[in-house]
Amino acid sequence: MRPVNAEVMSTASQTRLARIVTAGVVALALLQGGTAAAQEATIDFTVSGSSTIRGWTCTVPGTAQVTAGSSTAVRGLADGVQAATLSLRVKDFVCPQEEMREHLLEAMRADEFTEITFRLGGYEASGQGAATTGTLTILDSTKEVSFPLSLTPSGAGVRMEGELALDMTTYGVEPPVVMFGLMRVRPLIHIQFSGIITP
Amino acid sequence: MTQKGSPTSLPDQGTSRRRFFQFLAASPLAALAYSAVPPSWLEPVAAEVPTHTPPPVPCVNCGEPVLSDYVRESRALQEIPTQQLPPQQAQEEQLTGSLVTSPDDATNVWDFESVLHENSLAQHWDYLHMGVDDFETRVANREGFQRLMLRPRRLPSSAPTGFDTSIDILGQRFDAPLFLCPVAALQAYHTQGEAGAGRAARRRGVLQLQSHVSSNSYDEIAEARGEPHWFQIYTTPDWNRNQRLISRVASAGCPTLVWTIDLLGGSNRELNRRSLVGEGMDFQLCQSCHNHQQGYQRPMNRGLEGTSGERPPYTWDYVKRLKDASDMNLVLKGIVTAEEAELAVEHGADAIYVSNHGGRAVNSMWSTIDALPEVVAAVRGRVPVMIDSGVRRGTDVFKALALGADAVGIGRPYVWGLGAFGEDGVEKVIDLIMAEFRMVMRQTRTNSIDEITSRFVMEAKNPIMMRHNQWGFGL
Repeated sequence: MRPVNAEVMSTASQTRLARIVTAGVVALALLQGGTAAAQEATIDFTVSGSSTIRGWTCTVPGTAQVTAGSSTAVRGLADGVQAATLSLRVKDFVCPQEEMREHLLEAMRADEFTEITFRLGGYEASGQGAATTGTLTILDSTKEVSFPLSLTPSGAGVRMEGELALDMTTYGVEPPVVMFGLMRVRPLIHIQFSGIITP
Repeated sequence: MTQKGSPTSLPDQGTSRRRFFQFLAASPLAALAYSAVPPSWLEPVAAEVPTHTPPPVPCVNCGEPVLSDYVRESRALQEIPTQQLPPQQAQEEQLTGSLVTSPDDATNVWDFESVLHENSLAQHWDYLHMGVDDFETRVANREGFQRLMLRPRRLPSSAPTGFDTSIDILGQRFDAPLFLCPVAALQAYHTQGEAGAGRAARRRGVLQLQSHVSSNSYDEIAEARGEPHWFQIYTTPDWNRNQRLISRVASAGCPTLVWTIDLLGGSNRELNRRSLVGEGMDFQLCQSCHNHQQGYQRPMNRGLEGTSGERPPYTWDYVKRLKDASDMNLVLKGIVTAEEAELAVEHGADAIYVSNHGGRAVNSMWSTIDALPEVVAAVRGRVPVMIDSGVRRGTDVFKALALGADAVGIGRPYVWGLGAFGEDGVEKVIDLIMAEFRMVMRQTRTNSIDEITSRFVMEAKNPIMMRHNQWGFGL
């Protein structure tokens, strides 16, 4: 048996090996092409609520990981969405006052639970976008939520906007209470988000 | 026979009282007057209701439950202890209704008032809500608008060619004839403060006037709004200090200075005073937000220290002094008579602002909508005329424009919106009023602001039907 040695390999053998390797690479590339890669986009979140003193709003940048394709078409996404995850880092919250931010991080137990995450479970196309369902994880609590999502073609991408209201206590978040209870944050909060995804 | 002068067999006071409560407890008519029953009577009346053992339920299906468990559970009535629902609370609930949880759910501006009331510290609410003395001027402002009735036209002579609500005022164009009045310390109601209101106003093409005692600085608001807005000033006796402030806002790009002259003599703010000395007022809590440390000043008063200047009296000459202090336009806010409107124009005012400070300056003032016609007549079109105080509806905007105003201001309503839902609330307040206003324009067959004239309004001959309740909501 002839040893497979580069030094002794014939030119014909070299050509055959090159063809095999090329075919393998092409096949791999084709296989990967069947599963679209997730695209990441920056999403701006606004969280509003009220207290026994006044209304408040904090903002936080987050991300959307969207994998397009092989699903029901929705406005701006002809191939639909395979998977989507919205997430934000709790410590990135920006509030009008530093003291307010500290109370928020404390309530969110930011050292222990660093992220808030929404995972898309399913959707139905609607006129302006989609009616979505999925799971929202805050602290160590995961619950199913549903909300309408607005999708608007914008340049090379699609502007995604949504909002939902929730009671933070249902996720185990204790609304901040300061000044011996004279100022109490109310449990109902309103989350709005907006950003451009590029499928 | 009872003899005259003989002792009468009267029950003792306790027995008599109990019989009275028994009567109330047994009377279905008395139940209708539940809301009028004093709270202290509720418990004794309830005690006189006979304990009634219901007869046994007849066998319907031989021992099986008559109702399924599910139905029985869902039909179970909660016992409501009477003392937890005193009449005044029930009445308040009926009057104010349930609170909207989103700006989109609001049907008029008063929906936001209730939410702000719920969301605010009592002292903050009182500050915004108050009218001086007996609220007479606040009430007059609403009654003034309500006395005016519309005289619509039903069919146009030709098809309209367009529909335009935009205005030009002092060289600036806005999409709507509305403007946001200067209101103090908006961060007391929402952390977004004047900057949030500014973003909403810009999105709706509405002019914004910043209060001298705002929570945000001029620069912060202008940055949020994306364009310069107007600034309202309360002058101090020290002219140099005024000059420094005027120079600051002028260099920041402010095109128009609004001088408030309706508070120069002070005001009797009883509700505010009661609120600040009342039980439960925690000054540490206040200081934690207001930063009332030594030397604390609101943003627009910071950095104005320097050499004191002369202290000129507040006379008509002061108008020229203010005019000469910068290149900004000067508006006089608080004019409510023809005489002073004439003087204001003579002394160089670039616009007249008809205002009684939303009923927060002097009691027993006549309403601004009542004052408007004579001011407009005196001005004779030489300068624009603005108006505020009591504007709550699109019809109010229409009536003010019909009587000659060039722009119409809202104060409390947009603060209600801000306090309730931040800038989204402000936006919705503007949307509601403008939607009402556009509908009135369509109903009167007017297609531009110029077409809205006094021919479309008349003074009512019928009694005023005020929204009224004892808490002063709905003014």
